[in-house]
Amino acid sequence: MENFAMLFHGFGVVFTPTNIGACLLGSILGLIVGAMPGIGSLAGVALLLPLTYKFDPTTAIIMLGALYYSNMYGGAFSAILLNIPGDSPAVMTAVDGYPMATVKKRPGQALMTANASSCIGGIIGMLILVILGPALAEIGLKFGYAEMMVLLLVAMTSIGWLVGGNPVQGVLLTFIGILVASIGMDVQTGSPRYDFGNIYLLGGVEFIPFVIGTVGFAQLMQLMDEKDIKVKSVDMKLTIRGSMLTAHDYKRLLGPSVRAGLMGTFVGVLPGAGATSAAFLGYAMQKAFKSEEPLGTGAIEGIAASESANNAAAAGSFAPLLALGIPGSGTGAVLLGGLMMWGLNPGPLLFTNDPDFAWGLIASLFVSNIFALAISLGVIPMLLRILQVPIKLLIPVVMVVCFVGAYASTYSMFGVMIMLIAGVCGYVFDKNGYSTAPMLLAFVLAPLLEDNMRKAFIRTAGDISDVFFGSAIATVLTLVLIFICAFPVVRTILIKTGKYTPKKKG
Amino acid sequence: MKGNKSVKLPTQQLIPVVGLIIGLLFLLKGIKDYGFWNSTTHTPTAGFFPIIIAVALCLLSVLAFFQSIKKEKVEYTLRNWYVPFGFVLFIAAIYIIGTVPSTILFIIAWVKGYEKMSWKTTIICVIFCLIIVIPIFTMWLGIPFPVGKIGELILGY
Repeated sequence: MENFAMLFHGFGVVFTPTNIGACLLGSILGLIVGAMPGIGSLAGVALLLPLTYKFDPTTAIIMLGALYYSNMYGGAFSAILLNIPGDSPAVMTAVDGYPMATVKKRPGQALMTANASSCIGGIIGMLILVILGPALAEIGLKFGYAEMMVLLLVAMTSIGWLVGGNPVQGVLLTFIGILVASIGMDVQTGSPRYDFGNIYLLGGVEFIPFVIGTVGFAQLMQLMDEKDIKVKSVDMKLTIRGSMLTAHDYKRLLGPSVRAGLMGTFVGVLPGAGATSAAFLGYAMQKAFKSEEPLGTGAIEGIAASESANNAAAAGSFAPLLALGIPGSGTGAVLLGGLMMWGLNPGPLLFTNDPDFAWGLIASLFVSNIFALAISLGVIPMLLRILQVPIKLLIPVVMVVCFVGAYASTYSMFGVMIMLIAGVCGYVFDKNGYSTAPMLLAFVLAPLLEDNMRKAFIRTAGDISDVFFGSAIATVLTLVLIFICAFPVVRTILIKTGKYTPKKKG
Repeated sequence: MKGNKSVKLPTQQLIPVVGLIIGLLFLLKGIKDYGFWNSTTHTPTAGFFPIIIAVALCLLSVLAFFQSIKKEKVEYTLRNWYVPFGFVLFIAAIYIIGTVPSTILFIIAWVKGYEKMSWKTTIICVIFCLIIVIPIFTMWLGIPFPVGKIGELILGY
């Protein structure tokens, strides 16, 4: 009950004109970015990060949280109307959403199903977050330097392992991200390190240009392949009245939304799993239950399961982010980077030391859920026009946004250069099947990892066994870490020796 | 389609090699300049953490290289590279004529010149970008964007 009392306190923080305005702005921008095919939540949050400079930390993160969260709503629009998911979590929405819009001629109802189930999934995720967040923080308080160090190693390596097809590639980029982050100042002594004689590198590689380049600019290079593709959208006029669901439709979507919402929240809490995996699992879980129509033919149940799961996961991912300072996805890493930029240190003490911020953010998610739902309903008549903005126009405009965002964070062309180099590298990595999300996560978490690692070794005077096996928590986490690290090596050896053949996708 | 020329490059093998080079660079510089462990105070030094990661990166790069040996070359199409090339020209223009004129010229060159869109669409894009640069970033966020060499002469900087 105490948690819910704190949540009401959080609403008090949110209900100021500035915070409500920021929440509304984040919701609108998130919906637009989510709806535009090709941008995605990660690039969207990264590109809009500089807009928050003017705000205080609480307002800034409220805007970014709303942006990330409403992105999940927006992703469904293009999935349903164009058969092109605005973001990867909406992939499964297209499977039933597009047939419902085109074959069954019910595009408005498909959108309403997505909106309603997103809202239900989101509320479930947020309610669990209210309970789980402080509970996780309570566990986190038992962690010393060694436990925190091993937990961070587990988070980093598991993301490298879970995201993308090849664990070796994921972990390789994780290590590169850590080394890039170690450029600049030594975290403990403040002395220059790895500056290679360059005065600009003394302050380290700036987070915003790095992240805008790695995800935003790299995305633009990829979009050049898709800019001339003609998309076929539904040819019906959309109205709010014509999009209303019947009582029977609501009955059909309720069960799948609640089930997928519960499951999605816990998937969101896991590092690396994220909203996309939640949507896939939610849809797969719905297959085990009865649907009125077969899934894949435009079933309401299919849209509800996937949309509810991805929104619940987006809410659930805030639990480890706030309570342990460990983001569950690339977008979470960008949010964490933003928090650190404003001088906040997410972790077990956040709920105790900065309750206004922690509970204000959680409360703002509830508010942005309502805003996103209301805006989603309001934009239905204009949606087809918004979605038909050609990618070829988006590319030069976003290039200008990349420039102003990178310049604004450093007040120098050096930041712009960092952005350009990171962008080209990000594109090459993507082209070769390397996911850049682990690199971003590692970049953000590296200073925390180094600080904890060095303190753990100082405390034990260099006794490795005491660091990794000095307590029950550290021992369990170390065993998990060993498994994660050993798995790709053993797998490679087994493939090379012909003792294991990986299943081909599709 | 414009910019359809492509070239195949062995980047699947090159990425682990670059990873190995980065790892060795950080390892050697770490050992030489920052050290690993202070045996007098029994505490880690500034190079402790990067050296461990660099060693791990070297080992993993070797593993990734062997995994990639049989992988095919990756095809790179010229049109994807128009984005960084265009961006470099945009930056060069900013150095000379400043941010606002460069933004206008860049959008006109891309939207009208390269994409052959109508003037109406081009002007809408220019206005949209100028709204981002002037009211939002310059006036609201107070970012002093470069005015360029010509702007400096005119303004007497």
